Amino acid sequence: MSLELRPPVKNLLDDDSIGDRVEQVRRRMRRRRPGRNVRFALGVGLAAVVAAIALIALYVRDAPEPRLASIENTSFEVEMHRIAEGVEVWVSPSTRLDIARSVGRGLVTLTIGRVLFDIQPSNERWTIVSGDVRIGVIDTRFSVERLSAATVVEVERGIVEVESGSIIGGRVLLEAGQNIRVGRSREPASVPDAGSALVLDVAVADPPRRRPAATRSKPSWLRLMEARRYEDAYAALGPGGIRAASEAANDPAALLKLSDLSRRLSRHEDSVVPLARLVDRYPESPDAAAAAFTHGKVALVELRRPVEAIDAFTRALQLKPSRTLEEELYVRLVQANVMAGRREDGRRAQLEYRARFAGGRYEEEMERWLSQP
Amino acid sequence: MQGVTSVRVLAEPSDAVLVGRALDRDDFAEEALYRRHAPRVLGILTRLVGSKSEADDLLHDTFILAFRTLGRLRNAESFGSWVTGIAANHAKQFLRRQRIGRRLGILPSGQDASFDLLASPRCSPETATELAKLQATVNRMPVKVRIAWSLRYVEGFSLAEVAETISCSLATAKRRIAEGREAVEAVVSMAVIE
Repeated sequence: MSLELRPPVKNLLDDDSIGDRVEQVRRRMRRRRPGRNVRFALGVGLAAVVAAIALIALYVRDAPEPRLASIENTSFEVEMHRIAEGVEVWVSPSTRLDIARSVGRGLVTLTIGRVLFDIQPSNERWTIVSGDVRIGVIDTRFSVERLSAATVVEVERGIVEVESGSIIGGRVLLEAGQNIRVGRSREPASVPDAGSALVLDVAVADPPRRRPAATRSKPSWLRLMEARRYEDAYAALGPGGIRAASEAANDPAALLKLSDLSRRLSRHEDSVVPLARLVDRYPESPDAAAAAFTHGKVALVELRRPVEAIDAFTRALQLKPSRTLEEELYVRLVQANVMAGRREDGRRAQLEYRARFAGGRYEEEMERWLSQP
Repeated sequence: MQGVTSVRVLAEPSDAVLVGRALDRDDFAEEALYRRHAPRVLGILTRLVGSKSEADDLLHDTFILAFRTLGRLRNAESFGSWVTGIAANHAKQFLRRQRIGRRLGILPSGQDASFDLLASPRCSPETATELAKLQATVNRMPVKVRIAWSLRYVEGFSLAEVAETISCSLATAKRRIAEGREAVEAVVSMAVIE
């Protein structure tokens, strides 16, 4: 875990299709196929004609005026409003928002307060504006809170796109479980909530950039670990040991470090504690699937507890692993089932694997495990 | 081997020689230049744009333009870096168009050659996961920063090579790479190239 990638990154990659593709491109060049720029220009021309026709059609139809509405919650309770088909908003007390709708588009301007949006997929495109922050909606449930000096966006489900001049690169996509606090221009960036994996790369406003609190006041065990004094780091965990430290750790990165520390000292029994904690407490973290996978591998290989490994691998498969990790998870699941004497379950996992990865690279290994006496 | 008294090994013609011959409309020289440089350029383009089909198109356009404007190449020996510069410029234009297209919702956002998909079979799942995070970060970088950082950290170019490829000063190249590095450091742990 917490690997260090060594540049150049291309040394970690492998693309065996290059030779064939070079040949194909050369053949195309010989046929004098028009270049991308020509094709792009033709495409743009065509698109312009279509757009012009569409605009004329809209003009002829006498497009309706945008419909406007305002909501102001002066009560002491959260109010729910359905502002469009499939769009519900929960408006906190002391909140004001304005809504404008025209054909296929909706715009909500949040003046002050906090609103939870639940937007079902439809052809209507919704945008939420809070100060200089614009939030584009892509099928989601999320909240926006406008404070006097910042806007906080928190995603519960789906994906939203947050744009602001205060974010490096101007925009960022937030997924479920992630949040961002965007300060107004000329104000320092705020420290994002722990538990949100993406926040480190998005919680940025004007320089100077602040470090997350966790890095400003590192626990002593972490400082010792970074100094490669692993035994001392372990001793510094205190009387509660790894369990207490895992309970106290307040972000996935710290839990991964705790697991790394234990494994460096071959304390495999301890190393699974922070991993299990990470999976339980931060299932939306991008590291959760890899943590569950590592838990399973340690349980299978080091602790010889295949049933525990099966549980961990099964959980990892539910945590949206990357495709590469997913493929590996299936083969380890087969292995763990065979080692636990559950050959039939292993066979089922193999069938599932075949359905997901036709001609996958672990087919042979799976067969080897399943054919073991 | 009876009867063979000596074997003469012919040295491969240099880029300068091939460029000179290509300018004299020698198809073989053009073909040789393509075969010598296209695999490397295609690799760079694939990693820059994260899509094999798009990279193929860009390679096509790069060499069409390179052979059409060969007469403008001042130092014929530097054909390789010159053609890489054209490719980087095409990639930059493509990434900008793609960004606009995505905003307008007229272009798909999928990548079939992201770092994690290209990860070598030797890579552990953990490394592939880190590569996926790295790709997501790179996708969010401003295009100019993305190109400069990628040439340095993905391709391993020297600072001077990056500056030459993207036609900017050393200071500008350094600033863009540093900007990219800052974005990456917040997400994945990566050794710094001094």
